Amino acid sequence: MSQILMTLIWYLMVTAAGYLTLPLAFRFLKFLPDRGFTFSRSLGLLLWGYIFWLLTTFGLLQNNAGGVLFGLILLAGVSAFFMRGGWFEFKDWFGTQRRLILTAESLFLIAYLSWTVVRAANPEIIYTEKPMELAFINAILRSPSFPPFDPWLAGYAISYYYFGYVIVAMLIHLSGVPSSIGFNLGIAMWFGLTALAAYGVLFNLLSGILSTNKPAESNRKAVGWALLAPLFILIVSNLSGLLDILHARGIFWQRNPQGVLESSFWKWLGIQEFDQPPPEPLSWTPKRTYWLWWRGSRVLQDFNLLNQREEVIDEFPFFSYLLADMHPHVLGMPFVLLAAGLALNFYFSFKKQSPPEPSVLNWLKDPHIWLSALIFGGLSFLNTWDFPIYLGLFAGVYVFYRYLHNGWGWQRVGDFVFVAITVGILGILLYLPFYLGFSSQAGGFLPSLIFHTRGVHFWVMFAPLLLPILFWLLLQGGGYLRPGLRWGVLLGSAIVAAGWILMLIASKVIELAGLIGQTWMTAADTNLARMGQTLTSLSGLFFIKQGGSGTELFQAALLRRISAPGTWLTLMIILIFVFATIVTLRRLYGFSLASENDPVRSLPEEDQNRGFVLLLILLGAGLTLAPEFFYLQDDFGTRMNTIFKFYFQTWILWGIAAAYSSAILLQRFHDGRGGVVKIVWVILMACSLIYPGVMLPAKTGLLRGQPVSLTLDGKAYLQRDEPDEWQAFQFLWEMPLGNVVEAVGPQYNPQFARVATHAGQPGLLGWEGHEIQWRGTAREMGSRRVDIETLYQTSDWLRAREIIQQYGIRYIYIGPVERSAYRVSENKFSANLGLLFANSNVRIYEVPDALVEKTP
Amino acid sequence: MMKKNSFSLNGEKVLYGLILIIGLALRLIQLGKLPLSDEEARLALQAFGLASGESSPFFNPDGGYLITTTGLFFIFSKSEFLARLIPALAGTLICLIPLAFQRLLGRKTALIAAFGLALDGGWLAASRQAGSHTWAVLFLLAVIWAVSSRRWKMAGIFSGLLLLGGVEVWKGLIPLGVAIGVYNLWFRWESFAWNDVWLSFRNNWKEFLTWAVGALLVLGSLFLILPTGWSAMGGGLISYLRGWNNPSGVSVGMILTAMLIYQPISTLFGLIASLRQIKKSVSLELFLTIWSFFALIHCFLYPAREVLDVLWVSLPLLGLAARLLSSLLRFNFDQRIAALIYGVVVLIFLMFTSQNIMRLFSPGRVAVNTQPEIIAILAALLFVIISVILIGWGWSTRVAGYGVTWGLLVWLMLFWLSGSFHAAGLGENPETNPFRRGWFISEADLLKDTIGDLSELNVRSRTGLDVMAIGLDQPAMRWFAREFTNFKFENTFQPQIQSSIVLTGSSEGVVFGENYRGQDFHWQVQPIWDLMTAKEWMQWAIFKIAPLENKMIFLWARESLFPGSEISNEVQP
Repeated sequence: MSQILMTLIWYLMVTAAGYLTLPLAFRFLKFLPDRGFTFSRSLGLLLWGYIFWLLTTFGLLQNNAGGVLFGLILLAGVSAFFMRGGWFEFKDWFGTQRRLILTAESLFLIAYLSWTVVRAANPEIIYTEKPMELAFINAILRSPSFPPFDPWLAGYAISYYYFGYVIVAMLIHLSGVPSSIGFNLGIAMWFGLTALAAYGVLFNLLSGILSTNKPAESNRKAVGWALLAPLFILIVSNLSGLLDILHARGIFWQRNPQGVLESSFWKWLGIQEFDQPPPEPLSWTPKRTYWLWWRGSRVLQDFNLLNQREEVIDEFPFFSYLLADMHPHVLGMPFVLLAAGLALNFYFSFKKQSPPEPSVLNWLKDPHIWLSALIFGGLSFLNTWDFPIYLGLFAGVYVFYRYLHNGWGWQRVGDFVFVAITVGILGILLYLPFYLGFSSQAGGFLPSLIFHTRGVHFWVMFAPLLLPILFWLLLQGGGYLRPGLRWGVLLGSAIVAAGWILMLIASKVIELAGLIGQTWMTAADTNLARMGQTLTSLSGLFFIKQGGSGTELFQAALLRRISAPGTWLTLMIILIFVFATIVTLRRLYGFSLASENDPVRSLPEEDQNRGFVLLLILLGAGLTLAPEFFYLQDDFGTRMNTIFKFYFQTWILWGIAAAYSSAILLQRFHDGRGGVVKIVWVILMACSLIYPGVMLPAKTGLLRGQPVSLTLDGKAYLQRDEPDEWQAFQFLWEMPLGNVVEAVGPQYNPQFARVATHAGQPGLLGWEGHEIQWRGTAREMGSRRVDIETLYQTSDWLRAREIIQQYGIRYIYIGPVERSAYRVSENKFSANLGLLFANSNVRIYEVPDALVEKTP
Repeated sequence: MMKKNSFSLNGEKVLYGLILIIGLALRLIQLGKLPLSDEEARLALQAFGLASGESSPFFNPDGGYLITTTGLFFIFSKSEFLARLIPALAGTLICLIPLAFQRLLGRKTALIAAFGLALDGGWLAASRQAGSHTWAVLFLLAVIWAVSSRRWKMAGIFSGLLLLGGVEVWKGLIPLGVAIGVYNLWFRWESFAWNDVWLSFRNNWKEFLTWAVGALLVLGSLFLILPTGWSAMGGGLISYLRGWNNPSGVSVGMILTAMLIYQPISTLFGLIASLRQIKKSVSLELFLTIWSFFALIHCFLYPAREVLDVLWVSLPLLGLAARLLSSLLRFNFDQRIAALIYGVVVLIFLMFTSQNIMRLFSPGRVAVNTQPEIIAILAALLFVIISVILIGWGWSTRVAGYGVTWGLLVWLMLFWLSGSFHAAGLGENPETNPFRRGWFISEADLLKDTIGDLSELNVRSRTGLDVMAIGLDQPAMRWFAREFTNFKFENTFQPQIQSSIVLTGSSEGVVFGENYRGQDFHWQVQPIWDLMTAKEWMQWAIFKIAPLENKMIFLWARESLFPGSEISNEVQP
């Protein structure tokens, strides 16, 4: 099958899934102006994946193409069931929305195809975490049943949020493409799906407000302006691209008398690599390093008390897609936008009906709630971090309307908890089999005492989104800010202050716990002593990560935050503006509620939509403010992952808000202020598009005017560079499932775990560091590393046989990596085992069933 | 009149009864004689596993076959006969399907078609192999019948069962769908009364759908015992679609050859009928022509084609041929005796021709001079041609036409029945049957006897000796192994091997620690179709003989198993 045909088949499959689910979207997302059309593909994939996964988990379907197709047929059946009686409405809607449909379809197709070309220009599945992702996909493809086996820890099931991989594997199953091609098609497909869903959210927000008097014209305008959402979310990037070219050109660098380049600006900026002089001769084209594009995802810098650098990840979508790691945060993108669409639908539903009273029974009777639970629960299985975030948005919508209706009271907190718990528990129950086999490394929240984001880094990261949002918040008019400003200031300041206070208290508690632990350690009671030891070590670990303890640490933490207040001040201002506007809306709403009996329609359309945008901004502000004070404890012990996951979602939420703000600003303001805004906006766009403009050619070789060889096969490099190994992997792929043993080495090194990854066989041990991350402990790995080393090196067949039997090893792989990692004693294998495969570099021995069966 | 009608009806019943008996007999006689090929064993093993309570991770797409055969295996013993019983029964029922279309085809046509289906080589071959071909045809025809008679409940159930027919269903459904579409678009729809059917469907689609889904879910999972069978339904379509990218290696020429050699009557007369209808433009013939055309085109285009796919072409062609034959087999004109006599004369000359052709291509023939046979063949054919012209010109065109047609028909029937006998696997050289899927398993019985003898000698049971097959993990071997209690499979030759009997696919690299004796067997054979010369093709067409390629296996028996050896004596009491 040619790769062009494969690309087409993937398009057709996902499009078919979308259109088969459209009746369902039409019914359940009926309050959206697009009736869920732009979300139908994401919804279709999610529901299809859910049906397939659940039925396969329960042994009702097989993990093969037949099972996948049956899942789709079942989905079509469910969709048709909900379609009954609504066919003519559906047909009418289709007839009147040709422009929207055509634009959305074109956007999806162009985004998908263009990113297919990008992937084809650099398709290698080799670096960063791509091996892990391919290993998951291959394991899912080859698992006879679910949960799928862990490819890097034979004998165990995957302990990770793997739903996205199930969906990709599902498409690979059905299309029959090799997984190494499916991987790249998957990335391109997700790019297209994200573009479409982002477009959908903004279209639904803009529809009806761009030309208030003429709905049809407004709709037509929204079709075009909504394209800003995929632009802001997927293409617009942080300002590292701008900094990169300024740096490369030597801007702000001066030569000292010794002829060495020096710069106080770049030193103050404090971003790694940029604080070093640029390579000469100076040029507008950055040439710092081969991985030039990497720096964009590391503009934030954390330093502990000792000024030791801690890595912080600040990926944004363009970087993620350029990197093309098929990681859960990428796989979740179309679905978090679907969740945002669902929340918007929930929000719009209150235009036509009052918010329902919080009653569990009534809510459970509503099929919309079940669908919501299915979508939000799916987020947890896709990328667990997203689950509470978007559940929060959903609950926030409810609270927002309840607030508008009933005003503020502690009951609103109860409303929030009610929605979050009801939908959250349902969401968990619907995916219960996943949770039964999932163990997480998360271990609560820790105060982020010394670590904080400097304002300049925050602005380098978010300026392209922050500026349009701030302009919009400011230029929406004093009428929206002034009436609620007092409350806004109060709430905004209180939240930031609360963050400070809670962080300090929590840090003090940890310090105190350490001290108490020390006294308990000497206690006669062994349990108390053990507890004391635990407390002391936990407290000690926390302060080690902070780089110190005591008064010095607390003082330094406060001093650093006060001397670099940009982030929390920015966020405080945003909070003030948002709260002020919300309070104003309530006043306007309350006024209209008192004056008219039809409260919903009395509020102008734009003001209603404004509320949702404010919620997006508020949630984004919350996600960026939270890691200023607290972070999730994981195996890294720093806020690296918290920043990564929270900032990434903030980019999506603020991306929509920024696109909305831009559309309003560019549409509405035609006076002097508008002119300034437009100029600033154009400059800002230009600056934020430098990164894609420079890094895309840098990574892929495209757009350089030179021929680039294109292939979608992520393993083509292997076939070219390591043909013997490639041949061995292909051979093993065809063999029955069996535990395979290969050399163990450091994580992120693609030479290790390569057999299990590419051959789709459960490896005895892959990247240890990753196993610890997935399981939160190294317990399951036991002594595998040592045993594997012994197996290869010992000349004692009895000892080797013991290890083989202990782990039920079926295939013993001896390739160049094994020979360089160990002093392989091969005689014992050749004398006692059958040689299954051999070429000039690789030999694979097979353990006979009789030998494995002796495993106790 | 009443009496005549009654007699006619009874006679018809008797004939259909006869068809049923012949059809059943031809399908069941020695059904389990030939060993299962890899393709058959793959299915049978899965049913065997399911019947034994194993949880099968992956269902083959042939859900209907699997589920029913699992039931059979569960109740009865596991044998080749039972593995092929469901296709045989479905094939037998297909013979009676024309009865259901009697009104549409005409009584005589239906009867001829039923005989054709009962005796045709292709249909016999399909009925005598484990697979879903006959299942798919049976239920597709059943759906067409139920839909045309507006029995929506039945149509639903049959549709559900049809979808359990695996990949074969789609090979039939798609050309049929295209044919219906083309017929609808370009020709008359009304003439088939499809408008009424469509209107009825619109009112009853819920009933249809409910029963279809119900049948699919309930029967497709063997009454919810094997829910994974649901995946098999989707698997059929997937396998079909993948087939567009996976060439099977069966050439278009092979398809056409099989049609001409094994189905000469339906092919020849069907073709004539379809050409004739262009002039007459009769709607049924027109539709059957379009259907057979698209079925043939599909056969040509579909890369994963197999010879059995010609069944989808021969089905409408058989209908066309039956229509034509029913008009030719008329005996109520004046000069029928003369036509009959002339027909016998033609047949004699054709038989003479056949005899000479057989002599000409006889495999044992050593004579270089072929002139006498060629002259005899040409003279006989010339006589037939001249006699037709003379009788038609000088006496009666009707006598000439009917006479030569009947003579030719009988001659073709003899050729056809001989082919059918071979296709059914009842004649000699079953390995050259082109309808057989996969390699023919050749010396399984000999292998079984050899192992059995050694086993009996050493452990007093014909199946108890420990056997290890290395590098032979194929379905046919797995099926073969099921009867042995201690039969293991390995992919690689282990130096420390100690099994009493070792089977290997090659003698190279086989080095035992102890003394073993070896013997080779022809395990799998198949004709070398691609390398056959024109003469070999003729020999195959006439005698069903063809040059073969084969895959050997080697049986290695430990020296101590044989009488007289020291260890052997020790283990014997």
